Amino acid sequence: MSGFDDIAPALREPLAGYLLALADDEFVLGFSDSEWTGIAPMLEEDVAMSSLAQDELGHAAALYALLGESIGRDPDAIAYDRPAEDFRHARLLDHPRGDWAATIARRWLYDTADGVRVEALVGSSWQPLADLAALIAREERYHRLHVGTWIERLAADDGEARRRLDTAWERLGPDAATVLAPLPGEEALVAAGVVPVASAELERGWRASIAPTLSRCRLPAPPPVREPGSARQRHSTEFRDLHAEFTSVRRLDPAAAW
Amino acid sequence: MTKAMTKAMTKAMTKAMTNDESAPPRLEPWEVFRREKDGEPMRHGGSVMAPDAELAVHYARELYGRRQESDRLWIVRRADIVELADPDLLQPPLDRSFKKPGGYVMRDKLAEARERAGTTKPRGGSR
Repeated sequence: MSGFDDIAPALREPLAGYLLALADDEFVLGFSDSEWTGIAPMLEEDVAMSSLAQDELGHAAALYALLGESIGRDPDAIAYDRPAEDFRHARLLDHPRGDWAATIARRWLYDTADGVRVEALVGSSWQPLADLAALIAREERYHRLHVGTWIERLAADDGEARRRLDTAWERLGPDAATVLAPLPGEEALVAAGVVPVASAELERGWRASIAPTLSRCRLPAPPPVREPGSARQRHSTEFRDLHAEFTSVRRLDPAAAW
Repeated sequence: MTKAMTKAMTKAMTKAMTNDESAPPRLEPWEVFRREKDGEPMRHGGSVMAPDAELAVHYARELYGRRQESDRLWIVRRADIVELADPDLLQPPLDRSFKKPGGYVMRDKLAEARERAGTTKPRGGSR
């Protein structure tokens, strides 16, 4: 890998933005889910959810490293030294945390959308991205399997679990498609094959792929995104709190070696 | 996570398996066997609690395979294991030394047999 040398200058900024959005998604989801460590509903699920969270942080680390190498910046600085408003994760990941059904709903909506996106990126004309996407795709398969198992169980309940799932769905559903909202400069990346499939087409593929589960679980299809232009901006108070939390150790001593 | 919530989750997880509204939430133990690499035997790794085979597989994967320490897992419902733990059958009280190879002195007999057959002792085989 040699940075953006083989990327046309006009494509570098959009590609950097695209990588940042991918990395921020994985980082924010991974950190949010890691908050269940020690307090998940049962021991086995505690290990499972923590392991999924670690996987996402691993994907984020690899994506920040690829971006950092490309633009000549320390990956840790990209992850930890930006103000909250500079994060580019999807609005789906900005909601209040702490409810297990909402955690499952968030993860299922994210993982199904991300899966479609990552599998498309395996065909990227930029080899470093295609290679990384292929590795990530293999791990994401298990994530979808596990979280899919959970959402079916919550949906099949007729008591508190189902009520909480419905409540979460009402809140999260309208923001689900933010994961696949078009990114700035995307057309040029698609034209060059760096991003093989446009967001609008990914979203159609995602909607088709989740339809059978939604129907089985009696869950409504997520509506179209409101204000797609700010799908990855103007983050919530909850995210600002989360940001304060995940940057706190770094802020103690940015130069510390780990 | 409140206790009520945990209970509801367990109930939801169980329903698919039992299909019975009155059945109490049921998590059951599954035994996990793991193999470190091709050619090694399957060894008992431990157990997980799960409501059904699907989640038992997921949890076995997380507890005994997430660090790439296994290349194969067997996940067995503990209730399906046929157990033998009868001391009369497994630890009988009388002398059984004649059932163990250590109960015989083989060395001289082997040497004589080899001599008769005209073969030499295999290298490295000292027993």
